[in-house]
Amino acid sequence: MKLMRSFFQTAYTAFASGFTYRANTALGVLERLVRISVPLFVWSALYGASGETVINGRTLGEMMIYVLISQTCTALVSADFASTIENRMRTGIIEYNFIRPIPPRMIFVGEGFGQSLYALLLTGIPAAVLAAVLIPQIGFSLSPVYLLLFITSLVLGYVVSTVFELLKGMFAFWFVNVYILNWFMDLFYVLLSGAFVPLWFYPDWLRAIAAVLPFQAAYYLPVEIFLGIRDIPGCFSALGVQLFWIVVLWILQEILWRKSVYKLTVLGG
Amino acid sequence: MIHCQNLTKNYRTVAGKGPFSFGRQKDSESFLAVDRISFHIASGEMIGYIGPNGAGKSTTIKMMCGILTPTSGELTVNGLVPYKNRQKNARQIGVIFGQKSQLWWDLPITSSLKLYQKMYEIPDDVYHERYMQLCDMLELDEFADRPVRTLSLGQRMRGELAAAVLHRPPVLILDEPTIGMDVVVKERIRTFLKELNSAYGTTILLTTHDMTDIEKVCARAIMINKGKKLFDGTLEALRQNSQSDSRVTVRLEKAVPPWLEARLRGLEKPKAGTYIFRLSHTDEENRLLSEVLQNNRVLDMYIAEPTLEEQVAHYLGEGEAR
Ligand SMILES: Nc1ncnc2c1ncn2[C@@H]1O[C@H](COP(=O)(O)OP(=O)(O)OP(=O)(O)O)[C@@H](O)[C@H]1O
Ligand SMILES: [Mg+2]
Repeated sequence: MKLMRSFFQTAYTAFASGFTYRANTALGVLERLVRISVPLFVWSALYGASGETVINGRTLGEMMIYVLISQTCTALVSADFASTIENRMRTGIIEYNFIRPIPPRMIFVGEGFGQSLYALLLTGIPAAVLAAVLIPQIGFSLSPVYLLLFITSLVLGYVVSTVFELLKGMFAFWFVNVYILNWFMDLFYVLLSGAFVPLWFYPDWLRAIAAVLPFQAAYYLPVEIFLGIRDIPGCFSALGVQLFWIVVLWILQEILWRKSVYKLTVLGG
Repeated sequence: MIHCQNLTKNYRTVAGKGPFSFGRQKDSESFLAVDRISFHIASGEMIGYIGPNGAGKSTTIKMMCGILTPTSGELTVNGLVPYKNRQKNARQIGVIFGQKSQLWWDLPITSSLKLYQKMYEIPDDVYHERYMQLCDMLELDEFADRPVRTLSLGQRMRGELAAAVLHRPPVLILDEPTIGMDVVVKERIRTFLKELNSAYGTTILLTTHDMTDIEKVCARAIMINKGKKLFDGTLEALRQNSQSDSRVTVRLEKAVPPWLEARLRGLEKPKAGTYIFRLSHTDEENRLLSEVLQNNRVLDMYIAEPTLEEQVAHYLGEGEAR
């Protein structure tokens, strides 16, 4: 309970920190409006040019919903606290995270949560506006059961990405410069998470690779659930996959964390 | 309050070792940064922890915070072993690393303070009372609602102090809190530390390269060099032990005869007729000095006591020679 209060205050502080530069916040919203609109136009153009109403089993309406919801979800998992950790390792400020009455990782995750909420707000506003305009035309409805499954899956997806980010952050304890690693991870992420191009457009072999990697569990699965692509058992197996990754990544992260703390405290950083 | 017994820290720098090289020990170098240091600091004491660059001061402090695990020896802070109870220990210590910040860069000081209020579970009314008090003592008002990044170094440091003592820790550990501060801010920090100590009996361990800080705040100093403890005692004792010389500047009517000049150790002649004698603690030299003055007329005379800084330097010099 008391830990939760510290956690939320940490998140709140990071969230508030986002609003430092008002012009930045305004620009952020604008930038995201473009970021969501561009794929919307691209898909419309593609569908228009092909003359088909259904491509790879998906209608243009479904594609548009996909863009809206996937962009919103991406915002939620966009916190990059691995580089925050890296930065603090380099400057030694990390020491202050180790002299608090709450665990250091809780501070990292709390800050990440605040950043995510801020990004969600930035993206959420234009996404909601676009949705309000588009949904009535497309005609889309979500049953309460699917909504509930979607929310559960979204939360699990958030946990997957957070644990993954922690894992990345641990590397900062060893390599100090995680820039290259970040770059690689982002590449994988773009390619294999389904964040930019839905996985249903991929050839089978690439989809098979994506399926055995954790990236899609972070948020592609929630999007699939939202779109109603999966039946109910399919939804539960998606949740199972997410849980599986949470456990696996957590164990890896825990092992690395212990070695990292050992390095910091015993070997001396 | 703080107790060390043969406290030792041996850094092991392991070149290019990744997280997956399990157990293999390859070209690891070790560096003995703190070497069997023992001391005891009672509750309410204000200690100056001094020594030249690289002496091992920060290393000792990090061990007290639980950030570093001692290689051997014992260390307890208020009865707790810091590295084993890092979070519990965190509640009873306030820490400042002068070169680093614990304040949120883009937010006003108050945002960081509110965050630490929640972390240290300080009830709202207590928080407000303490905040008002700290505002008073450190004069935070004038900049409390400005983002930290816009503050001057001195203003920021006052904010850091507020953040470090908000949970009213019984032990306050300061690693170079006055670095880069002007005289006015330094003086305010010193006053603040003394007030804190007299009002709440806060035990204070202060590391600084400014001996005036030590003179004005601390009654006792612990001096280390190259990881070893050289001195532990009152400032008076440090002064007496160091046997550093006072300097007597004298303007004389006649020149000092060469044979006498030759026998005077460390005589300086900045300009004609002006001599700087070192007034040491040996009878022989003091007798020579009186001889110089007897056959001459003193036009002007000025005695400079050695500063603590000189005494410490002298002490360290002797330590090297030993
Ligand atoms: N992580 C580390 N790995 C290896 N050696 C280290 C490490 N940190 C410090 N040292 C070495 O240990 C010695 C003591 O360092 P420390 O920072 O404790 O000195 P200090 O007394 O605080 O000096 P200063 O007055 O310059 O701050 C130095 O020689 C330093 O190079
Ligand atoms: Mg230091």
